[in-house]
Amino acid sequence: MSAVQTYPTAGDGGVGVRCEELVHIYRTGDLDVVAVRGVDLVVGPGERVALLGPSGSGKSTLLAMLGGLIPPSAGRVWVGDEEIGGLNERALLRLRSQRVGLVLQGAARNLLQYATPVDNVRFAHRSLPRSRRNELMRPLELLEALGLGDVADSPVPQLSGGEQQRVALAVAVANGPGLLLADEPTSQLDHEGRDSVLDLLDVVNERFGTTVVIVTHDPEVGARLGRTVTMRYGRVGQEAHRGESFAVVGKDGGVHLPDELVVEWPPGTQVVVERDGEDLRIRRRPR
Amino acid sequence: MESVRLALRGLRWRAGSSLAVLVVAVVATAGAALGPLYATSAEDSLVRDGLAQAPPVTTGVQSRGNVAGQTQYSPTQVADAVEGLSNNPALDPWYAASTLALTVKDGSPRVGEELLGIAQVGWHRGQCDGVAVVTGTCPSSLGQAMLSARLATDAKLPIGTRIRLGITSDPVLDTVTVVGTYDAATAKASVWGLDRPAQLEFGRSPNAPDRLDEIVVDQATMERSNGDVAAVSFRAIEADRVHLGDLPALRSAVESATDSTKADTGGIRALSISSLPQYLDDLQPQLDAVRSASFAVTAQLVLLAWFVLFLIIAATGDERSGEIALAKLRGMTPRSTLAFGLAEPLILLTVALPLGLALAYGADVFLTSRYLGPGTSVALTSTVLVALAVCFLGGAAAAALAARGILTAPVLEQLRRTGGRRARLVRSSAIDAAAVALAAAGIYELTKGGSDALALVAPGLIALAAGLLAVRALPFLARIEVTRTRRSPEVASFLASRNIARRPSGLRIVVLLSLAVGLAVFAVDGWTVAAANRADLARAEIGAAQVLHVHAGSPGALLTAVAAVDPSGTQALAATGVDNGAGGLLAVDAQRLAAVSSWDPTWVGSSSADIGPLLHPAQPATPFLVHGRLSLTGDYLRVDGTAPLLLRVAVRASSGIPVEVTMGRLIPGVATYAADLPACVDHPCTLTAFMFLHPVELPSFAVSGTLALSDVKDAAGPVDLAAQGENGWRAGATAVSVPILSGATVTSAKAGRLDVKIVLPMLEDGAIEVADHPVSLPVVEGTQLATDPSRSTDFPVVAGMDGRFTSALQQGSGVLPRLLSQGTMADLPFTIAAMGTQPNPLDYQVWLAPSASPGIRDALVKQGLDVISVESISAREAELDRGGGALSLRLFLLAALVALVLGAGTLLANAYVVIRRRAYELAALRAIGAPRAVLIRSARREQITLAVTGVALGAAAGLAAAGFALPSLLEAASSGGPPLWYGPALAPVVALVVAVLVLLVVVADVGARRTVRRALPELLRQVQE
Repeated sequence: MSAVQTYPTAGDGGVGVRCEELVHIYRTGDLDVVAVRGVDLVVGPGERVALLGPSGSGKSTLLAMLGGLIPPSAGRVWVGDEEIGGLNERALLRLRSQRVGLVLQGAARNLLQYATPVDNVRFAHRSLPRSRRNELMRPLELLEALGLGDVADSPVPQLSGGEQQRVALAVAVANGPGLLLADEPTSQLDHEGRDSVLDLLDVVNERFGTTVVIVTHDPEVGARLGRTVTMRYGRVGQEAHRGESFAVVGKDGGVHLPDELVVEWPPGTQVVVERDGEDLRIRRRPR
Repeated sequence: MESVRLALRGLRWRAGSSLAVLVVAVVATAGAALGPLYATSAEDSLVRDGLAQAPPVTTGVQSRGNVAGQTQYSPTQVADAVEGLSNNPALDPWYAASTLALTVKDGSPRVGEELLGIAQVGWHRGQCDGVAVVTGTCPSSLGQAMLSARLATDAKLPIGTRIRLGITSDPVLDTVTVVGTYDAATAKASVWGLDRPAQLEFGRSPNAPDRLDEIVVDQATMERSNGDVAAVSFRAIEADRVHLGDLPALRSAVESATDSTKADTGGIRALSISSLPQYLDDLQPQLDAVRSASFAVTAQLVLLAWFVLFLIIAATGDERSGEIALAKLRGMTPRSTLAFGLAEPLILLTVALPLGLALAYGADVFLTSRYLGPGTSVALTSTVLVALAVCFLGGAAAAALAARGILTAPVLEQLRRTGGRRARLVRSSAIDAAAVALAAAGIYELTKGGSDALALVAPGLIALAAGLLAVRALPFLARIEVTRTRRSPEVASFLASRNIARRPSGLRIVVLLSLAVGLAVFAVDGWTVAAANRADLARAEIGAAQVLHVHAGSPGALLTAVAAVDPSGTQALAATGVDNGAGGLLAVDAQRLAAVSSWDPTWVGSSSADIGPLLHPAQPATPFLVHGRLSLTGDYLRVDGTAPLLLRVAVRASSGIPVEVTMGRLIPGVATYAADLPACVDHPCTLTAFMFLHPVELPSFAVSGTLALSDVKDAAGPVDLAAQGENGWRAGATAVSVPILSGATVTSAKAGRLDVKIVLPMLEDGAIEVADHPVSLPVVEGTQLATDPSRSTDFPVVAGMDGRFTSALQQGSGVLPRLLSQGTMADLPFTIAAMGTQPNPLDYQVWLAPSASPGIRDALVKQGLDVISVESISAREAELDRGGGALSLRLFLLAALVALVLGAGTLLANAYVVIRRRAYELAALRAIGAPRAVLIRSARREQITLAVTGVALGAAAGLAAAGFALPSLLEAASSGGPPLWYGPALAPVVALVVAVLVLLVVVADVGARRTVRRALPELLRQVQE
C-alpha cells in the first residue's frame, strides 16, 4: 500500500463534530414533532462513535443534521471548525463531496444498482475537482485496500448484503472525507456480514484516521466502536466509553435512567434525588 | 466518455422505460421532421402538377418571326433566326426540343375557281412522323400537299387534285398537288407545338367561308410564299423534369431567353415570349399556403412532442429520483447532477434524431408515392434540419424542466420516496392563462376570417386551453367526490377521486389526451368535410363523369352526333361553351341534363325533375323538318297599300346554321312560290319562319293584307304547316339574321292551310315564326353574375339575342356546371333555335354519364366528332386532392395520426413507468388489508376518469375548432364553388372517439392490473426508514 497514493484526510485524525443545543422539528399533518431536542455532543477527530437508541429516538435525524442533509431548527453544529447550520446548499454539497462521507440506511440506496463497485466509486469521484481526484486512490486500489478487490467489477445486484454495505461504505469514503456518517450500516446483516462491515470501519478509522459516527440499534456494534451515545426522545440520555455507561445530565437537569430501571420505575414514578458526598443518590419515593 | 458509459448502463438497466422514452422520442422527432419533409414534397408536387396541367401556351417558350416587313430575308433565314432564339441552352434542363414551322395562317385554297375555305398552310419540321398518314404519302418535295382525310372526303379532293394554296400571287408557284391525306386527330404536339392541324370550323354565316384543316406542304413550297409567312418555334416545358428547387433557375432562364435585348438574331426581327414567370407568380400563393400550413402543423407537432417528452421524462425522472439523490448525497454540483440526470434522456433524444428522421423520410416516401404527383421528390431541406434541431433542443429543455423538480427536492425525501413529492400541478398559472388567452385570440381572429395557418393552429390552441382548464377543475371536482365517498362503501371511487385530488401532476395526461384527440378530431372532421366539398367542387367544375372536348364543326352537328350514339338520352349529352363576355354561356341539352350530369340541380335551387323542364319548357310546336326544295301556294290579298313585299323562308340547317332564301315577290291572288334549299338536301333543315319584307331596292311604305299558305311541299312530300294549329306559329321572327318583332300573325291554321294577316308599317318588315322555341330564352344564372350590380340587364347571353333571356328560376341563381357562380346556362337546342347568327368559336363538349358504355367514344368519333381532350370528375378530384388546401389538411391528418400515436405511446409509457411509483402506495393499502379487486377498480377508475375527460375535452375542442376554423379553410379552397358543407362529419369523428376510448380503457385496465400485481407489501421494505 505504501506505493499507492496516500489517502488524504481533512486533518490529522479526521474531522471532529460538535453540536450545541441542536433541535430539529418537523411537521407531519397538522402536528409539529420535535425529533431532536437540545442535543449537545462532541465527537473528537478520529473518534468512533455509535449512536444508539430505539426507533424514533432521533438518532438518524441527528446523523442527517451532521451530514448537512437536514438543517437544524435551532442550535448549532460544527464539522471540524466549520459551522454547517448556516451553510447554503452549494457549500453543503462541497462539504459532502470533500469532508463528510454519508451512508444512508439500506445499502442498495447508496449505490447505483446498474453499476459495478468501481463505477460507483468513480461516480462518487465526480463531485471532486479533477486536481483533487488525482490525489486520491484509484477506485480499484481503494476497493482492494478495503478488502473489496474481488468484487470490484461485479454488478451490484450480484453482491451479498454485507458486500453491498461494504461497497457503500467504500464509496462513502472514496473522496477521502474526514468524517464518515453511516446510518444502520449493519442492519439486516448476519454476524459474518456485520463483522466484515465493522472490520472495514476499523480499517477506515485506523488506517485513514477518519472519524466514524454510525447509527445502530445493536449494542454489540456500539461496544465494538468504543464510544456509544444513546438517544431517547430526541435527547442524549447515556454515553458509554469502553464498556462503562454514564447517564448524561441534560441542560434542563434531566437524566435518562438506564433502560432496565425504566421497566422497574415506569414513567410517573416519583423519586427522591439526594446528595451523597460528591455523588447523587436516587431512590423511589416510599409507598 | 465514462459518463456516457454509465448512462448507457442505466438505460440498459431500465430497458423497458428506456425503450418507451425512445419510442416516444422517435415518434416525436419523426412528427417534427415529417411536417417540413411533406411540405417540401407537397410543394414540389404542386409545382409539377401545376406545370403539367397548365396550358402549354402558358408555360412554354414561343419564338416567332414574320417574313412580312423584312422581305429581304427568306422564310428559311427567318426560321433559322427563330430557331436560334428558341434553342437557348439555358432552357435545355427543363424544356423539350424546339419545334419549327413555317406557316401562312389564312391561306385561301381553291380548286379551279372554287374557294374551298380558309386554311392554314404550313410546313412543320418532322411533320411526316408527327401525324398519321391515312392515304398516299407525306409531302417530300416542292409542290406537294397533304390534306386532312375529312377535308379530302368532304370536299371530294382525291389524291392528284391540284390546288391553289392562296399563299402567293404566282399561280404556278401557288399550285400544289395532293399527294396524301392525314388524320388530323393524330398530330403530335412535339411537332406541331401550339398549333393543331384540326381547325375545321363552319362559317358563321351562310356566306362566310369555312375554316378548313391545315394543308401540309413541303418546306420548299413555303419558301415560295410571298404571303404573310411566319416562322414559329415552340419549346414545351417538361414538367416531370422540374422540381421545386429548380424554380429560381427556371425563372431566370426563361426571363433571360425571352429578353429581347439579349437576342442575337443577326438583324432579323424575331422574339421569344413566355408567360411562365407570371404563372409562377400566380402559383406562389399556393406554395406559400402549403408552407405556412406546414409551419402551423409542424409547430403544433413539435410543441406536442415537447410536452410528451416533458411528461415521459418527468415520469422516468421520478423513477430515477433515488439515483439523482445519490448524486446530491455525494456532493455533486448542481451542474454535474443535472448532467447526470439528463445524460440518459439526452442520449435517447440523440438516438431518436436519426431514427425519427429515417421514419419521417420513409413515411414521406410512402405518402409522396401514394398521394402526390408521380415523380415528386423527397428532399432533405434545411427546414427539416431546423425542425429537428428545434425538436431536439425543445426536448432537452423539456427534459431539463422535468428534471428541475427532482434536482431541487430534498435528498432524504427522494431517497425515502416519502412525503415531499408534492404533486405539482403545472404551476405556471401564467402559462395556462397565456395559452387560454392565445386560444381566445385565435378564435376571435378566425371569426374575423383569419389566415389558413391560424386556422390550422386553432385546434391545438383550443384543445390545449381546454386541457389546461380541465386540469384546474378536476382536482376541485375530485375533492367533492372524495367528500361524498369518504364514508360510503364506494371505496374504489373514494381512492380514485382521492388520487386525482392529491396528484394533480398525473392530470397532465388529460392535457396530452385533450391535445392529441383534439387534433385528431379536427383532422378527421376537417378532412372528411373538405373531401366532400372537393368532390362537390369537382362535380360542379366538370359537370359530368366525363366531358369530351370535341371538334364538331357546329352545335347542330354535335346534337345530331350525340343523338345518334345515345338515342335513349341517358348516357351522353351535347353541350357548348362560349365566352359571351359575361362569365360565359353554357348551353346544354337540358332534357338530358338530369340523367347524364353529375352536377346537382339543388345548387341552383332546383331539382333533377325540374331542371330539364325549367330550361326546356314544352313549346306549342315541334320543329318542322324541310328536305331540299320547298314550294307552296300563296293566296295573297292586298288590303291596304301598294308596296310590294318579298316572301322569304328561313330555315336552320342541321349544322345549326341559319339559312334564309327568298321565295319571290308576293303577287296578289293565287301563286306558287318556291325556294331551293341546298343546305337541306343531305340532311333536313328545320323550318324557322316566313318573312314578309320590303324589297331593299324600293321605297318602303305601309302595307297590309292577308296571305293564305297551302299546298306546301318539300323534296320528301307535303308539309302540313297547319298541323300544330294557330298556336304553333307566332308573330315575328327571332332566329333570323335581322330579328323581326311582329308585322304578321297567323289567324287560322287548319286543313293544311295557314292564314296569315300582314300589317306592316312603313320601313318595318313582318314575319311569322314556328313556335318551337321560346321567344325569350330560359336561362339559369351564376350567383355572381346575377348579383353583379354593374352588369347590364340586356347583355348578350347569346350573340344576337340581346336582352332576350328570362331567368328560369323563380328566385335567385346558383352554382352552374363548369361556370360555377359565373355566367349563364341555357338549353342547347333552344339556344340554337333562338340564335340568328353563329356565336363565337365554341367549345364543343359531350358529357358522359358514369354509366356510359365504353364504346361511346368510338361511336362519337364515327359520327365525325374528333376528341380533342377529356376531362373527368375523378381526375379533377385527384387534382384537387393534390391542391394546396387538401395538402395542408392531409398534413394535418398526418400530424393528428402522429399525435395519436404519441398520446398512445405516452399512455403506455405512463402505464409502464408511473405505475411503478404508484405501486408503493398500493402496496401500503394492501398491507392494511385493502382487497385486491378494490384496488384494481380504483386504479382503473382513476385512469378511465382521466382518459374520458381528456378524450371528451379533445373531441369537443376538435369539433369546436373545426366549427371556427373550417369555414375559412374551405372558403379559401372553394371560392365560387357549390354551397359548402361545414360538417360536422359525425360518423368518422364518433368512430375515432370510440376507438380511442376503447384503447384507453384497455390500457387503463391493463395498467391497473399490472400496478396492483406489483404492489406487494414486500415492496415497502425499500422505503422503510
